[in-house]
Amino acid sequence: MIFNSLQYALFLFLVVILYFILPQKARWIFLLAASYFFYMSWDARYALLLLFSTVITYSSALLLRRARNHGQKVLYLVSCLIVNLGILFVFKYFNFFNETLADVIRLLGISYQPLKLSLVLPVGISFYTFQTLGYLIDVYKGKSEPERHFGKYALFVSFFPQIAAGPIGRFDSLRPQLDSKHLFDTERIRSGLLLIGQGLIKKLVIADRLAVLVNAVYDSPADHNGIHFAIATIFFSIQIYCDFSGYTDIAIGSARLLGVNLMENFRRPYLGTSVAGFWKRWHISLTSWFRDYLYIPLGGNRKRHLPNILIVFLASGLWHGASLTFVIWGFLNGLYQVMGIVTRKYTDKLKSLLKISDSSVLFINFKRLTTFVLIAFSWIFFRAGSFDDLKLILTRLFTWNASFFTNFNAKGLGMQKSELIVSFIAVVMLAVYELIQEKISVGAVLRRRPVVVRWAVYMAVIAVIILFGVYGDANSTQFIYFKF
Amino acid sequence: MRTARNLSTSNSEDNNKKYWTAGYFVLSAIFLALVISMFLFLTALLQTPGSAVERKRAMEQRPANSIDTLIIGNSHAYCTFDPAVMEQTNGEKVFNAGMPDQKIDIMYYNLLETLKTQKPGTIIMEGFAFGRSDSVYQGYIADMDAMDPGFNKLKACFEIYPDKYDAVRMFISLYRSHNNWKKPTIIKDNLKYMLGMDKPDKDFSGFYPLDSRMSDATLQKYKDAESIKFAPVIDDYTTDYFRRVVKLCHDRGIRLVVSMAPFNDVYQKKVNYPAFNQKLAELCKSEDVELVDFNMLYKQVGIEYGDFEDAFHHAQHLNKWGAEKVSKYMAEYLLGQK
Repeated sequence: MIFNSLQYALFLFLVVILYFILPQKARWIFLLAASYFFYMSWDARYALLLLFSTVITYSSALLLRRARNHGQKVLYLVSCLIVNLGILFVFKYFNFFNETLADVIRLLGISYQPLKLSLVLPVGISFYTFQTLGYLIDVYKGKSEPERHFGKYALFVSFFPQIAAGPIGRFDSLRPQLDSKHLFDTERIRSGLLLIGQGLIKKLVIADRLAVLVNAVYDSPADHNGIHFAIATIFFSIQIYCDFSGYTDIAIGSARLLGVNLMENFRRPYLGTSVAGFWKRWHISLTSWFRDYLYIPLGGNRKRHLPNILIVFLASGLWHGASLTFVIWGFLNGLYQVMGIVTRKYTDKLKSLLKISDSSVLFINFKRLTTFVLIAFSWIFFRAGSFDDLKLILTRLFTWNASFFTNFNAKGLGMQKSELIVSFIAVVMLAVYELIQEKISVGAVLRRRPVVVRWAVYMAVIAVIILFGVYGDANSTQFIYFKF
Repeated sequence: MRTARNLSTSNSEDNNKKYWTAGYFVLSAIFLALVISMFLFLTALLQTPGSAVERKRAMEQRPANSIDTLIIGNSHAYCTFDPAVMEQTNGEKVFNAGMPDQKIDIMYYNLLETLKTQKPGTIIMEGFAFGRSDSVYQGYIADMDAMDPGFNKLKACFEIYPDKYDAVRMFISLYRSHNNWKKPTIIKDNLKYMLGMDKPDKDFSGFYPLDSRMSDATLQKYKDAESIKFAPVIDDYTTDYFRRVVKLCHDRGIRLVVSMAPFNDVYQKKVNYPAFNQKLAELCKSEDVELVDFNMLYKQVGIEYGDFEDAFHHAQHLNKWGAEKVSKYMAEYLLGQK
């Protein structure tokens, strides 16, 4: 049951109605049942895995609390980490590591046939594993009290708006909200629905439309040249943002309908003026997780600052997928930041020499553009279907064919001309919207407008989704981050 | 005194809250109505053109209660029965409401819609419609999309499609046609129709004459008949819909005649026609419905197997000369002359 489906619309409608009809005492039970129903709609068997992970972290947290000494605490924590990360490893990384190992062994001249597990990756496993581990580490550090109510803890782990692809929730902020009494607040419902609408536009109108071109180019790299890859890469940069932030908008909007505020996950990342700035705005719940549970324990920026950054981004790359391309993508993003820090004094000198002010609009936009180019380049590694594809794309990226402009044919890019025009308009409108949002909240401005204006905007949003959304045909796609 | 004032304030707040809540629901209802109106407008604006839609529109152009004899079914109906020939023979107003690929389930719901505005004395149901439309086959989609969005269509979708998700998708034709924004000519044509600037030909009778004569292509189609997948089926499902049609006619005092359009020998062998014919005859007898099976009346009508000059277009359908003979015979039959 994906977010952009009619089933989800019906499911959410019924859940919201019943949630507010039910007495407060029964609400958490209902939400838990709805969350498991939602999760089981993909594959009922994986609910057992979710339950197992919930039981393990729930009991480990209680054991941590009862531990008599530090050694026992460490033992409980490490055991739980091994079990949970072990499950993640088996489902997500086993084949990758085994194949990599086989390659290394083959290099030594030894014949080795790697064992291959044919397991389907359970939806949201990376997300809920990190969410539960974050909770466990918080309990270990004494930042959080262990949850004694198993059912309510199970709801914290499985809460349906965020189980499939985040945002990765923090126990301290999410758990109390799941238990609080929420009244039916029309203002909150309105804002939740608007956010869902925004998410649907991002996903159906922009991401899935751009995906048509991106897939056409990246799925057959041998048939395309540099200009095609450049356009497809720019489109993919927008596609992945709209796909993931669209999903997040729907998740946050859905939770808001139930009175729950989920963590912000995106803050207009392409308006960041450096790669580090981009990462402060992109997938915030994961980035902050790595910051709190990996980067700071490694020493943060006090000890081995630069290696810590590289380690965190390598881990982030690996979190995204079991493939060398993801590892390189993570490393590249870490390297960008390390290079930024290393060269900072020279760039500062250059700025003062050229009398460039940091607050200059031109300079800010120049930095945004260079950041976008760097990030877009790294997305090539993320999107490439395989390492062989990646090598081919990088070779062809710089072979530009001028006839593209003289004999322009949109079909060569897998699209009709009208679709390409709509795609460009959508991208431009997204950029304008993000720039406005950076200064003022469009939602807040809209709230102050007369009802006629507000309704006209709502109707326009619905019409745009109905008309220009990609759905009901072979081009409809799953959310990219569902596979993580 | 203070208590009384507090009570009064509290009552006033309660009243305000009630009014506000009522106002909110009224506004929500108005907004919902606007969204539905927009949805219906977009549905009509982006409707995918095709034979089913054109036939539906032609039917809508007919003045109310202006049809004496209504022909229902699929291409076997609209390639076989020529209303002009029938009208000439028996003087009745005839309309052929056959729809491409239409099966008895969708046909039943389309008939319900037609009978809202028409009161025919006779209905001729072509028997090739015995079949079900539960697969998401393009022909069935087109027939379903031609139906007016409303309760009748909703009921049809949920009864015909076992998968409820398919049912919802079939009900919302915009689900498929929204991509027509890329085709300005479709939008222009639909808009012209909506504004009444492009009315279908008012003389369109629903008949689709096939005027081919003998050719290599025709012969090839004849030979290819062995591979035709579609065949009429009489099972519990189709029998149930047939009984609904019978009841509908009975309740409204309409004479129902089931007719099988002729199809060629190769095709008859392919679908084991004698077995089907026996079942159909038994079913019609049990329901007290007249049956005119033209596959048993070749000689009387004057058509022959393998005659691609004056009878067949290919193995399944008649050409217009064959249709003329069959239509004349049917009109005479209705008059009681056969």
